[in-house]
Amino acid sequence: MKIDAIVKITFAVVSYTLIGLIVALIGFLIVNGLDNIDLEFLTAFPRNSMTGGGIWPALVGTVYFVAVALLFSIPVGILAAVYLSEYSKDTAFKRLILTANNILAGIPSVVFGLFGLSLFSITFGFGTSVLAGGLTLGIMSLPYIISNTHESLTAVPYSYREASLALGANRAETSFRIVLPASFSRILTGVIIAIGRIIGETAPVLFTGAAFYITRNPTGPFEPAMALPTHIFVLSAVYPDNVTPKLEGSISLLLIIVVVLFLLVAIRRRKETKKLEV
Amino acid sequence: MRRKRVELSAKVLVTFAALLTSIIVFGIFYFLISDGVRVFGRVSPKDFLFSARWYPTYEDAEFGILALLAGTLSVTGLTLVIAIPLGFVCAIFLAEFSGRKSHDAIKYIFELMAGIPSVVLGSFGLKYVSRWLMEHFPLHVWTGLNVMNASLMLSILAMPYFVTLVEDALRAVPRDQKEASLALGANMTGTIFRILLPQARSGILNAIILGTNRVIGETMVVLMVAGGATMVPSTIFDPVRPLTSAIAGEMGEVELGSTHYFALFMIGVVLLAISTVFTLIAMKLKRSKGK
Amino acid sequence: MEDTIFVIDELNVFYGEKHALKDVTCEIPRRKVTAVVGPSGCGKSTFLRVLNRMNDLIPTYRHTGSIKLLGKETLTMDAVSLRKQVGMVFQKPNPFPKTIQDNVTYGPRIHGVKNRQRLKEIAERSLKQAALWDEVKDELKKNALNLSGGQQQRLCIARALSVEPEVLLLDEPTSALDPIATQKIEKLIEELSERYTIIIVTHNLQQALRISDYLMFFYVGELVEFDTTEKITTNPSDPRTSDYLRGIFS
Repeated sequence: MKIDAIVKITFAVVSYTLIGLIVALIGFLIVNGLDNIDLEFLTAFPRNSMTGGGIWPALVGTVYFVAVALLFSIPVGILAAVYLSEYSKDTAFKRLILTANNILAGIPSVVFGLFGLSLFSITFGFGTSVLAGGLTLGIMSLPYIISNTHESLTAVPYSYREASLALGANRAETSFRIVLPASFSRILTGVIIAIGRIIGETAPVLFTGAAFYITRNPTGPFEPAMALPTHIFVLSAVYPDNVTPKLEGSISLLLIIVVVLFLLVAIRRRKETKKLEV
Repeated sequence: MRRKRVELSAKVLVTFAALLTSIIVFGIFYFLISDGVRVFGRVSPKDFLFSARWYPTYEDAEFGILALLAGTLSVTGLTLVIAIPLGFVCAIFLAEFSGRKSHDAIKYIFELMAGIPSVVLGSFGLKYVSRWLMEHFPLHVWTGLNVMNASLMLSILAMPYFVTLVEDALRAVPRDQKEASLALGANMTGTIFRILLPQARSGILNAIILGTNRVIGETMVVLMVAGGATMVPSTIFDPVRPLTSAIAGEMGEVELGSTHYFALFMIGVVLLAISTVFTLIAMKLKRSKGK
Repeated sequence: MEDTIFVIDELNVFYGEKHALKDVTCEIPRRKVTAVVGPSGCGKSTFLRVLNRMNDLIPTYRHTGSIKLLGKETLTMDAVSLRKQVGMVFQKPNPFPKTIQDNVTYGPRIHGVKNRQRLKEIAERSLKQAALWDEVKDELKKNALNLSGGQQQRLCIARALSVEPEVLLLDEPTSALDPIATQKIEKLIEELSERYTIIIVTHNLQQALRISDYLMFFYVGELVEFDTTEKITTNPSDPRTSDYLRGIFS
């Protein structure tokens, strides 16, 4: 009994210290930059070699990149997951797709950047643009969407499918009108996680879509844009210390966005487990 | 027979979407390799892999990635040394000792931890950790941007992976195994180390492989805080230039179609090969466990 | 008007190596209640699921022989149009996680009914036939999962009726319900048999005796006896049937 108590306390102390440090780190980075976030910071273009103005174009650019990424990965990912859960049998083809999906999930982000550069920017001629960067991020987020949607679809009770088929519905009608809607909430949670993952990604857009500095927002998909994470990289690694207030504000803002997204996911998950318990 | 037509097109559509994943993976290999191999027109594969001289911008450019590889290995190794033990402690605490409420809260923090954008950690390491290292280890440290700094920051990214996967592995051990051990009069600690951990070993190995893969591929942290020196490190306070940071740091300035450009793609091929092998091993482990 | 709905000839069913139904030959009367009984594992559920080809979904499943529905071979016809004529209600109530209205209009809509007024009428008719209308008519837009277990099962019956099938297959429809809800469903089955052929699998022999006109007794994949319920209960011709009946009554 005694050793159990010692181990338990030691493990608890280590775990809580670690958690404490992480919370402190995130809290510090958020609070540290909070003072620098004001209306001008959110709505103005950078000025005076990034020491003045705000980060408006980086916010707009991030929204564009994420939007293009999701426009690609949500439909493709959901359809692929429908195939895996509703259509495929245990064949070599299914194993090939599952393997490909796992490989895709493990590829380093900078390698996606190289691929995006080679395929979208050069071969397709999109150049450094919202489209090239967004599609690169989209491909990166694809395995998350597929795995999560696949899991959500598999969690739908088999009896729903049975009931639908017994009414004379075919597989497509059953998949798209019964199974997909029944798992909508969980799929959405997965999409939020995917947004949380790609919103802070820097390397894939660094040489496919991101501009260091622009004087007007992109008006079409073939123009480059700024992005919040690349902006943070540029401010901390390229510019001298006199941009620190802007850097701290940008970090704070990005972390707030990420924390809110993850909080949203946690709340939604709790609701889902509650629903299952009732 | 409109219904039949819709049904058929739905089938074609979902099959194609699924196939697209494989096409993309194939495409990534194709595009990286087809650009990457062109470096061998100028550099022999042997020099590329086994020379430690990476001087891509010199007049007499050299493209040996051994020092970069050493950078990746040193940073990854130290990160694992920090993150695995801590991750284990947290995972065991979560799986066996924590109450339900605290479990959910801790789990949330870990998920959030994995979600911290790496560029933010890079920036933190650059501004704060480097200064802290300089002040506290003045005898050893000649630059605050080094293997140690990068590994500390990467540990923050890697640990949640270990914690989550190891916890899952522990929870996957059948309950009756644990109860049988406790019923024999074994204490909890003995049960964890003699029964649970050995039974969960393939899951734990899986966690280590996937976590390592993550660390090797991480880019922004090492780009910003590993120091960027092309040297084989002799201490953990030496600056290094891991593979990923070479690509991210140099791609912006490189001339399209130059040897340097192709060399960076070849580094991409190396990274791709490493991550693919790791993924396949992890899948194999998981499958053999399932049987 | 024909008196027979299904003509079944030399039906054999296999799951992989397992011979689940052996040489079943019989004729099932139309617009009557036929109860399928037997000890568990005897093939009664398999038999029910052959009638609307739900077994097709099982990878190792195969069959030989012939089942004619009103003269048309079902084993080779399009499963979708077969299932439109042969509806099914399952052991556990399984309404879709949609509104009550959407549950009973899903079937008609996939079969091409678009007119909203028409869909409303279908919803009302099926809910009335399933004796659920009075309880839910003011809350058709509510989620079906909020209904009680018995109501959910009647909704599932209404859903099956919404596509106007010839036959209604019931697979132990009351096994998950309390006695009062069970009683309501039994009464409903009696009413429905005026317009529909009902084939019900049940492990509850008393229930079978209460509601059925005909009784099919299966034993390890064989159709041992098939006759009017009255004849079987008063004078079973096979000793296995009388054993089974006695086992329950004693």
